[in-house]
Amino acid sequence: MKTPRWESLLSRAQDGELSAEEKRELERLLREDEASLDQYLDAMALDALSQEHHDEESIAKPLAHVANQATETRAWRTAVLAIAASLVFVAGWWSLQTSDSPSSSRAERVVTGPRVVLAKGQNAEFEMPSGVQVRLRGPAAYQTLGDNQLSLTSGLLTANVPPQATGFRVVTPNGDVVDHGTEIGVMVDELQTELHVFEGQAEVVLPLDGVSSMVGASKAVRVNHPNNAGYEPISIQPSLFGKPAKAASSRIRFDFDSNDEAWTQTQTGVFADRGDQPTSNLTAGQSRYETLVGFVKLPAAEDKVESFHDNPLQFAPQSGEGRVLPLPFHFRDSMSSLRLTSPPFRLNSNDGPITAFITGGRGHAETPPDFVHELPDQADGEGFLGLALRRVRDGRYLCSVRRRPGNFYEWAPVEISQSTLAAATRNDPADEVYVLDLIDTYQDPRWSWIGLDTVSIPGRLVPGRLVPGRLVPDRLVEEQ
Amino acid sequence: MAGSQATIEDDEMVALIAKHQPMLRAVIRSMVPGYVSGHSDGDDVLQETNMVLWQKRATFEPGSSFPAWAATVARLQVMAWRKRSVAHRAMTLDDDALIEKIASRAAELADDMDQRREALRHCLAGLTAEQRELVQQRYFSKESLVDYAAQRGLTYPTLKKNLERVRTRLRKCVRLRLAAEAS
Repeated sequence: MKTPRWESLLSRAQDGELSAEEKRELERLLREDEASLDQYLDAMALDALSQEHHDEESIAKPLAHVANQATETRAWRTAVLAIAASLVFVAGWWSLQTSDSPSSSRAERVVTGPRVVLAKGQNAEFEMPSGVQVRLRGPAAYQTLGDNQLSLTSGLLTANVPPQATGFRVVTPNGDVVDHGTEIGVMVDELQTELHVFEGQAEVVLPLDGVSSMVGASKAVRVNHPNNAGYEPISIQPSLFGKPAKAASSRIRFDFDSNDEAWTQTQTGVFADRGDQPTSNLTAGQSRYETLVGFVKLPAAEDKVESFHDNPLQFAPQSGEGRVLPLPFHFRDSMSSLRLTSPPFRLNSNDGPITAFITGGRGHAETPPDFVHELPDQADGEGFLGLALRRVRDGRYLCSVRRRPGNFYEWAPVEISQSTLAAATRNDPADEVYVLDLIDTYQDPRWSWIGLDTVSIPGRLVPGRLVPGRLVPDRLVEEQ
Repeated sequence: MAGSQATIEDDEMVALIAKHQPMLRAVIRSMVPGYVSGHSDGDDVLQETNMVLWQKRATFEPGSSFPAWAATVARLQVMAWRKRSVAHRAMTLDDDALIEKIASRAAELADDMDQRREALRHCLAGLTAEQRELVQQRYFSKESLVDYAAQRGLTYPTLKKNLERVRTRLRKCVRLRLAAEAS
């Protein structure tokens, strides 16, 4: 059975796309021909091996079904924790293939360390093979589960995670913490796990259903015992982990709710629509960025791709009631460059990163042009799609960020780190005025887009009603 | 401490269930070819099977073949799941004898799963960067292949054709390596 037809049948079965007729054909072949059955099982085995990263989920999930039997649940959870190391090892082999890191052969000899118990007053300090600096304060109990993962059953841990060790995981009985290249503190006791993020960001993963939440710099959350699966924000306590408390920070936050200080449309396009009858402001009009507050349902597209856009898209805001989206939404916009500009602000250079959440794509260019006046009028395949910090005085883009690859329709956290900000603005006087620009100068092959929510800036807004023209020269030009 | 004795057995059972996830996934996927696995609700039967294995752990005889026992449970779960809706029936093989035949191959699949993993690791390394990215998109990314196709400027059918070629290549490569080891 080596016909192209057979290969296509196999591949379609691997993707769950067989028609009723194809399924019958497959069954007939499998029944009649032993070699076909062999190949079919080979294909499915490869499929299963490519999905071993889901194993943890398929084992953890049944917990939810037996949750009413407390002892059953505890025994299962304990046992799952005990074998976490083997699952990690198994999941690790894939990264060997995808990362070009020369050190990846290390994963071959991942071993689980001994279970270590620290008494009160005892401390431990060591480096994980991945480069993570770990400090533990007793009373504590922990065990390394691999190159970049340890289990903490009780105690206080702080970790400095260098960029190459992003993904460092702390497994706790109440839920896991996954670090995304930061400095964090983790406190574990029988009933709860606390995550304190001093710099960068980290993620908490609940033991049930793999629910996870990103926690930003200077934020903390408490994750409750698995039987009560949930988490809540708490105030960060650097002193608990022996860190000096920071001076009260002042940050500007934009949730794009109705009461927020408005961002300004600084670059818009011409009229565009996608041919719907009747049209709405969501599907036709001047192409522009708009803050949409409340429940928004973007109508299904006429020119959908396969079945993907069959249903209306519902965009929940990342936080609060509103979010920024490009309109008209769908790939017949005018292909003009779009830009949305924040109110002017001054920066506190030592008060953490600029953080935001972005949906949509990531464009092509790593950075925007040097100056705002160099932005093209028309989007093209080379353009930048992201968020950039602009110095108002001369319109120079000092630093920028675009989202990581991922699902276009989910909010992705982005960050311009404190050190990047400090380096980019080191020659500026303390009262320098900046704005953030949300920039879309990219289209490929037909359409691309970017949405924005939950922006946090270490700084304060420039007070009073200043003449926009004096602050933002390019805005004056455009508004005439 | 009767309790601690039970915990050790529980540990062993969970370790067995965990170890044999790839085999169970392969067996169940083969019985339910209509399933879009790796997607949010695509792993229902596997999860249910895991739960039933756990709940029936007392009926497993230590020393007997775990894969054979687990595959029997999986087969019954698939047949129960198939009955639950018309959609499930459409996704599942209709021929009970064929389903049983697949279950009977479980022990053999479980036996060489480690070699298959090792072979796959080598075979993936032999792909072009582009082919590897495609495999990664299909199995490791939440982004839909439709989006990915659009991003690459390809039509969806073209992308699917490419994926099919990569799969054929990987399957043959793994098969060759397994045969080489066996001989």
